[in-house]
Amino acid sequence: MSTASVPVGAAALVRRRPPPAVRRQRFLVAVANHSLLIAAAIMFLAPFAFIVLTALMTNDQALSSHLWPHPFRWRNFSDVFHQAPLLRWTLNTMIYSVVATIGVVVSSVPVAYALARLRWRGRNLAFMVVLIALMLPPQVTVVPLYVMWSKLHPFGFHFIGTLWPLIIPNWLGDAFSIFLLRQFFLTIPEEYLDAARVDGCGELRILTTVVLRMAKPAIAAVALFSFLYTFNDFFLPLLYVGENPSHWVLSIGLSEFRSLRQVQWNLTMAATLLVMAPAIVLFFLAQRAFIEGVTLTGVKG
Amino acid sequence: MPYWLILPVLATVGAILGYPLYWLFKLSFERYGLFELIQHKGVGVGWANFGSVIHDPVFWHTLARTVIFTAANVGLTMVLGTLIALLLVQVSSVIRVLLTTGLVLVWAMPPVVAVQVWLWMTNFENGVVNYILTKLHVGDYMQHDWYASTFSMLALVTALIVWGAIPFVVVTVYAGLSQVPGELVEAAEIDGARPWRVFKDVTVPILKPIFLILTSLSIIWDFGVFTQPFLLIGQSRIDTSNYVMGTYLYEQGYFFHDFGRGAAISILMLLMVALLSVFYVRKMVRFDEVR
Repeated sequence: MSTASVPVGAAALVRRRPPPAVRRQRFLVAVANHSLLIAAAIMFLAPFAFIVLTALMTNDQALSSHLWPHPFRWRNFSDVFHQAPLLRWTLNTMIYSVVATIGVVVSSVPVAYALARLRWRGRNLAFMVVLIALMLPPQVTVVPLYVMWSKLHPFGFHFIGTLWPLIIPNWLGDAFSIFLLRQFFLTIPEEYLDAARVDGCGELRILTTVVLRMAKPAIAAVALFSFLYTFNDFFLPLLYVGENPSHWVLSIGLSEFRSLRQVQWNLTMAATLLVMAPAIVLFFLAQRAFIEGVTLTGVKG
Repeated sequence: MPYWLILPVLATVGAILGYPLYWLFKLSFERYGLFELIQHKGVGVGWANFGSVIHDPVFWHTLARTVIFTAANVGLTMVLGTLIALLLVQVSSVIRVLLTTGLVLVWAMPPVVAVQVWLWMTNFENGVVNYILTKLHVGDYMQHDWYASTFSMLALVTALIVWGAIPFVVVTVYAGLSQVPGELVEAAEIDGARPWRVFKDVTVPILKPIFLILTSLSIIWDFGVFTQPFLLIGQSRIDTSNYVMGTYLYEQGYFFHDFGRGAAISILMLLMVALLSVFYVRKMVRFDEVR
């Protein structure tokens, strides 16, 4: 509705101040809305504030009921590096997350494309299988996979205790990523693909030139999901490298940190902040692409 | 039709599902403990693994507990997440930025980190939750041990999971709300619809695909959740009285090195998740046909 077409009388009607009763009610509703969300904001921000404050306290203070650090102890952050092999853990985590994320993207894109845009016998069945794989709790396939990796042992592949069992499966596609990408690929208008076909492009060229370029936000979203998932992953690393501290990733290291040095909350929280930092930075940088990807794949799905 | 483009699909389907599932079934009919793991050869035992699981009262208690636990988690996550997303549209930008920052911080917080923070906040000696509750005169919570009873322990786990899952729901629903055509909402309001009516009859139908995906993903994730209960309850406190499916499977399969039994539990879990989400999957596939 364009404002130009509204008759003058109607515009005046719209502009008129609503009666006091209505205004008071609107004001009360706004106050209620704001206080609810301020409470919610506190719920979400407070734990983070506690982490930061405790990370700056001395050990004695962290055990007291004071909430404000006095004096500020910035040394906690460097102490963490002396007390735990944080760099080693970070390196392991980065190897796992980065290599696995590249694998997820490289392997999931062609699969999603074939499921979304190519017509072939058994396509619906294959999609159903991907959906079932999506439904599987990760713990379910983990038992047979663990046994499978251990079976490779006599052939000279000593995979248990290394990061390989965590990385390799990601190079064979990831159900969640395939699902998101497929939903996105479905929204690309057929005309673009037909135009490329008329110009003599093969399906692979179409995928690498047309589709990949249009699907950047979705691919960014998938890469971010995958990076965060592997960065935060606790269950699989615990299973495969839990007994081999030189291959520990940050998530395991952090959960062991408390027991490693009897509970020193200030150092634990400082380590926590250091672990969170990369994820937070990445998140704020890539939030837009992330949300765009989620929306596009979600709404049109 | 270039069939080699489909090849990755078939390889993937085989790799992520076919092979592990084949092994899972094979394993569930074998005795496969530490000894067999070293020998690389299981001993066939027929249905014994399933029998022992099904006749184990712990399994049924765990199942009932997990169903209630999942329903509470998913329900609270969806309702609170949607509510916050709806309110987010209504408030001033200062609050919106503040809350979004909080949501992103929580979203980016690894579960392991979140657990550490919650453990610290609920610590009975110097936990800040006890301190604040006492200061607010809710009651005397000094030295209150939140891990003393199973219910309060699992309620904490639920609070932790919901708290961590809300950001994803809020951001997705909030982004979805921007897709609801303003004219439809306006038209409904002119026809005299109250806010609840507008939400029920305009917003929900348009956002239905989003709600379906979010709910089904939440069910799948929460039914098998492991990290939060395992770490918050803690290995020393985990026992038959506070098992949920994730921790039950881990303890039975890995901790006791009984992989055959673990496989049997896995298959039963898979069947249950499939039953729970078959409705949603059918909806999703049908969506696809309508388009």
